[in-house]
Amino acid sequence: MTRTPPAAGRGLDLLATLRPLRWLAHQRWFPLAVVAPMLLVFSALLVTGFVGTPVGNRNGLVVAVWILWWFLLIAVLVPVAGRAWCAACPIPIFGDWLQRGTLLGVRLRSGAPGESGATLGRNRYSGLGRRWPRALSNLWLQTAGFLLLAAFSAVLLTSPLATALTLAAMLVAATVLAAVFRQRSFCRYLCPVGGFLGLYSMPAPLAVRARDAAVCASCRDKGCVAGNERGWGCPWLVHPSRLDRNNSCGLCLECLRTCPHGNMSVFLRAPLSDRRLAGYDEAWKAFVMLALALAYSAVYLGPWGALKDAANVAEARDWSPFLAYAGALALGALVVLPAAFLGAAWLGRRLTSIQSSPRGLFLAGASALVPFGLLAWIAFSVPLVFGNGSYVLAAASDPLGSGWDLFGTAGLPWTPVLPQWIPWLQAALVLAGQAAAFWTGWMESRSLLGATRRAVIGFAPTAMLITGATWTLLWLYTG
Amino acid sequence: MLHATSPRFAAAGWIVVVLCVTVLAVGAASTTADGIPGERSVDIVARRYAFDPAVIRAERGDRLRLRFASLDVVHGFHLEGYDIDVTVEPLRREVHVRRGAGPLESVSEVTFVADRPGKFRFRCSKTCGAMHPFMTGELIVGPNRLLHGSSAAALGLLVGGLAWAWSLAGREESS
Repeated sequence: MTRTPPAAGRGLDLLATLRPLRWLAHQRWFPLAVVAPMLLVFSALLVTGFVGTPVGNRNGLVVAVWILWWFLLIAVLVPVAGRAWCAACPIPIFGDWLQRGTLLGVRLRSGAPGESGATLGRNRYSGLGRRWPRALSNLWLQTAGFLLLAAFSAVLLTSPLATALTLAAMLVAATVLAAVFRQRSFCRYLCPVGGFLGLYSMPAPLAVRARDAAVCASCRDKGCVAGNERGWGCPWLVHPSRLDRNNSCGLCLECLRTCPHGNMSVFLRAPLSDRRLAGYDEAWKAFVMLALALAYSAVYLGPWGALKDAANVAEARDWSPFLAYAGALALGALVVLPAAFLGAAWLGRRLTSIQSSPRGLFLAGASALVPFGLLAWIAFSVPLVFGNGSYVLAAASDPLGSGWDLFGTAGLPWTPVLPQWIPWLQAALVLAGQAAAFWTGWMESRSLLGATRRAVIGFAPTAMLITGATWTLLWLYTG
Repeated sequence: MLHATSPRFAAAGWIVVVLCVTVLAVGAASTTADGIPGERSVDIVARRYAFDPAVIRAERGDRLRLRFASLDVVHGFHLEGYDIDVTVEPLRREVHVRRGAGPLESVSEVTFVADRPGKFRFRCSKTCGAMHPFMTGELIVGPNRLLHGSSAAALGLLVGGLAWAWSLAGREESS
């Protein structure tokens, strides 16, 4: 296999720079070496959720998932490495095994008549191998699923059983769907975590891209899509050679192994490089995520007991306030916030006197919410880990809450870390989000209206809305 | 990549300047906005999963006298930034208080001087049920420089950002 020289403009070619990383990325066992330990931890945590103490902040599953994993995911992994978690996630492993019939090898179709299983490209899969319905090939299902789970977040965050059941249901759904639909259809179109990971992977500096587009254009093999003896066609149902955004790339690195020209690589580029939203489904995902960051900041970090009572339906068993809370959440996320940004786009269009539909300006405004929402979520998550991190140490010694003291930390009292600095950190994160939003939105507006003052005017109403959202978060965190 | 002449670099420079100027200006202004210190008594009632009042407001230098009651189970009251931890038992007016690493004391009210301005959360520190980690309240000691400063910075980012983009677009149009 020859290796294409690094192309300019993609950022730093990590695999050309770091030879051990290149060697590792090309090993067929590498993904399994990452996923297998995760599966062990995942299985142990599931058991902890089912049989351990029902007290959330004393149960290993709840503290591992909602304090440790969540913070590492949203504050470290996603901003730096985008969807890297998808490459480590154990949930699709049984589905992959079922489809491929092997954990490490590659199956090729023989071409013989009556060959069993589904053949996609040169690979042979078990299962029905059906195409995912075109009408559902977007983020709408993931957004709806996430919003539904979000409405019950108080139950999920505090009940080990609810968390365990949800994770187990995701495992079963991923496996069953893998038997019916081709490749990672569950991850692409159903996984509620995958939806926001895809969106928030856009500002990340890490990206898998082709080194040279011309090499891909002249390639006859197309192993990255069709698969070959070195690996499977892209499990994420994308054309790796055409990747220009991080959204749908699960960083499984299969294309690195299948490319006969060594033309695929992992690049480190400037943050905020991916800015374009492809459609309304992505825009609404951005709205839902921001609305939830705002709502959660009020419910979980705010002092309002009535909000907590309304969200806490499992304990309060009062459905009326819960339905009002869930309804307000859905209305705010799906209608009010998008309507405000649509109004800003309409106003921007009027002010700039452009004749086209406001769709472009609307999507440009929504694109600004991607880095803004990500930093809002990080700001929301900071007090969760700084304030409740000591629960992780206690639960590590006694994950089931049954009196163990494995590491001598079971009796550790609740100890918040640097609480006086949390509002300062949150304010800095929110302001950084505002700045990143302005940069993203303005660059998108520029690409729509050209490098003109019209682009500034067109984006100005949206910038004011983002400033309003910034102030709301600042007030919630520091006011 | 980031080069010294790129718009991204210029934007970052603008942002830093705007943030520094607004934060310093508002910070300086708010240091002179203190009121006259006084004494305030607050009766705090804890129940799963809220404190009443949920928000306590004070001016810097105020002496606060806090009395506690619990309506249901044993609750904690941990005041961040002041490192005061109170244990409140139901049907008892007397509470146990620990200040920092100091000894545990039994008192009927907890007094301290609110000498640090800003927003400080108080949280339940004794596991009291499912939503215990989210049982919080707020002590807001004026002047709240962080809120004022960060709000001004947000406004500064808006105005400064649009002005920077406007001037850059003007230069690009004319060239």
